[in-house]
Amino acid sequence: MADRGTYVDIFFRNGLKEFEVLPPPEVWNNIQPVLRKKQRSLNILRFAAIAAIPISISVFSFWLTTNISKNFNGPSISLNQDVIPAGSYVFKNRLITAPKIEIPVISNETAGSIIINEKNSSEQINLKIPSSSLFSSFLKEGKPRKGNGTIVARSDLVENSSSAEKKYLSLIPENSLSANTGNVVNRWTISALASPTYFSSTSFGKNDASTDLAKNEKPAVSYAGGMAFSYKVNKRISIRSGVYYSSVGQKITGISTYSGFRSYYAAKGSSEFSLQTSNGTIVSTNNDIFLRDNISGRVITRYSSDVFNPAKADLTYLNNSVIQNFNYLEVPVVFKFKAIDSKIDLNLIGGLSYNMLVGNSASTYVSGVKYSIGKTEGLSPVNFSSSFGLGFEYNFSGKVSLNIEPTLRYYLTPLGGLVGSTAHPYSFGVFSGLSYKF
Amino acid sequence: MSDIKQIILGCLDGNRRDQELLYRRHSSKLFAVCLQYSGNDEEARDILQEGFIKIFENLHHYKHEGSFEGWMRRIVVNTALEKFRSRHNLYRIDDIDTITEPESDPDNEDYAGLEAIDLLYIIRELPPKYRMVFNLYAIEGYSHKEIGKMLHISEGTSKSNLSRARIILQRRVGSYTGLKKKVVNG
Repeated sequence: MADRGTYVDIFFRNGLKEFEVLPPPEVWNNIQPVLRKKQRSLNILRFAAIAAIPISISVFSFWLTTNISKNFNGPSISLNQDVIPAGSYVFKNRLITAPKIEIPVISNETAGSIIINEKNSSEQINLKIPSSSLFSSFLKEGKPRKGNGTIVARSDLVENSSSAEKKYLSLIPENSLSANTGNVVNRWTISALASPTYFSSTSFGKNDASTDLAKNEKPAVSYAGGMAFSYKVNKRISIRSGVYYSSVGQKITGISTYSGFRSYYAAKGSSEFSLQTSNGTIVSTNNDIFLRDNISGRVITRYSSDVFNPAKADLTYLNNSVIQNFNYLEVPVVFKFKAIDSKIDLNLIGGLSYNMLVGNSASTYVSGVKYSIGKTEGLSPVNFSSSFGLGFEYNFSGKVSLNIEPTLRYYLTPLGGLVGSTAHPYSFGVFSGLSYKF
Repeated sequence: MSDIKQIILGCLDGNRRDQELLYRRHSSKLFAVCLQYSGNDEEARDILQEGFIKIFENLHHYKHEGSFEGWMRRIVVNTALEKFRSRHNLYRIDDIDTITEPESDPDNEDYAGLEAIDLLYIIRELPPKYRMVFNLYAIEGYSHKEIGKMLHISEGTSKSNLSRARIILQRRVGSYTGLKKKVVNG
């Protein structure tokens, strides 16, 4: 006789092989929030990782700028201990009377002569600095800092100098002279920008699934806005990053929407309607809404026209379109090149943006009243977009400016996961806002 | 691309619809496994819940090689094991010399007429330690060596627990079939 124990094993194994028991609904209800929470944590991590990029770039740029200024090959200035009487200095063996010289960035050591090394030249110019008394008075008034710097001279001093001397003495414009603050460059800018946006989708390829769908999709009201920080790398180039919130959307036309369906769905099973769009499939969550496509077969439902007639069922007609909305939190990294430096600056702007999906909705409006329909499924939680534009900057003062930036944005990755779709939306907006330099 | 592959990719993208679809498709089978490993329904619900969260969290580890259902089942069984270890780590599992022989001869028992639900109830009546060893050996196909490592017991203890479980099961099967016969025959 075969092993009885083995027989028991086989008996139970085969007996339970296809056994299924429907779990209670609360199990899934408990799983869902955990998954959402984890998804949120993942998004925060992604956000932190992306935010680290512009911060790192800014820190690196700051370090690079500081390092370059330290190791700048010329003209450079250094100090020695050769003290000259106060009120005058010698420049190329000529005595120049200086009513006032400010050296904002200078060693705390006792004053001496300044040696200017011309770039690509072996010529060395000794610029004798008055005395420690001049420095001490400056040190009391201004904000001395350690390290090398630039000579700042008043215009009357420059006027009395030869052209060769002017070259060095007018390194810094007169309007940047300040007895108390020295020559402080405002490298950081904080800006608040907002824009109405024109949003649309475009697709590639003749057989692309989204091409036909996009024909019946029109731009809807969209906007974007947020806070941005800029770091001025040099006179021309700035790097900007920040956090923007954008709401983009489109109107899906040719879709009749009805209300009052609630009383029918319970009797006939699932009330789910799926509406295909170029950016994904809208799935209804409001069981009171009935959808019908008047153009093609974009709406997938069990309640097709041959089994259900909304007119006979006395449903209330709402509208002939569905508004599809996507909300994103964006972290842009934008480079600004100052093409014209004037009262109204002209900047060329270009960069990339990491966009995190924070919400999406589909709805229809009747006389300003919003009827929620559902959500777009299969959207990518993140995508990348590129932006190009012009920036007009009107300077009210040295610190405050008005910015107007017409910007074209192109989404490098599709928003949704519609199989066979290569829809890459684009948007155009005119960002405007104020900036403060510090 | 296969249907399940698309659903998995959707889940990896955080698509809630695909997550729910995956759950709806496989939860009934996996809940039966949970019931098999647990002493009560509440514990089974906990195992299923934790198991599915682990499945969603570890989906990116699934290489699309071999049975996806088998992969999920292993996760659920491991979850049940973790729960068992956390609850029963203080108890020493009986050695073979403590086992007493069953009163009736199992050779004479008739196994016919038992349904899956009866088998489940019989398994769940086993003491937890026997239930675990029997499930892992007889249903999942693990060796005593593997079971020993999983439950932190010796190979000999695993064998003795299996032997004991079989004896109890044979006896219970006999009782169930006897009871059923009585009900049917009046």
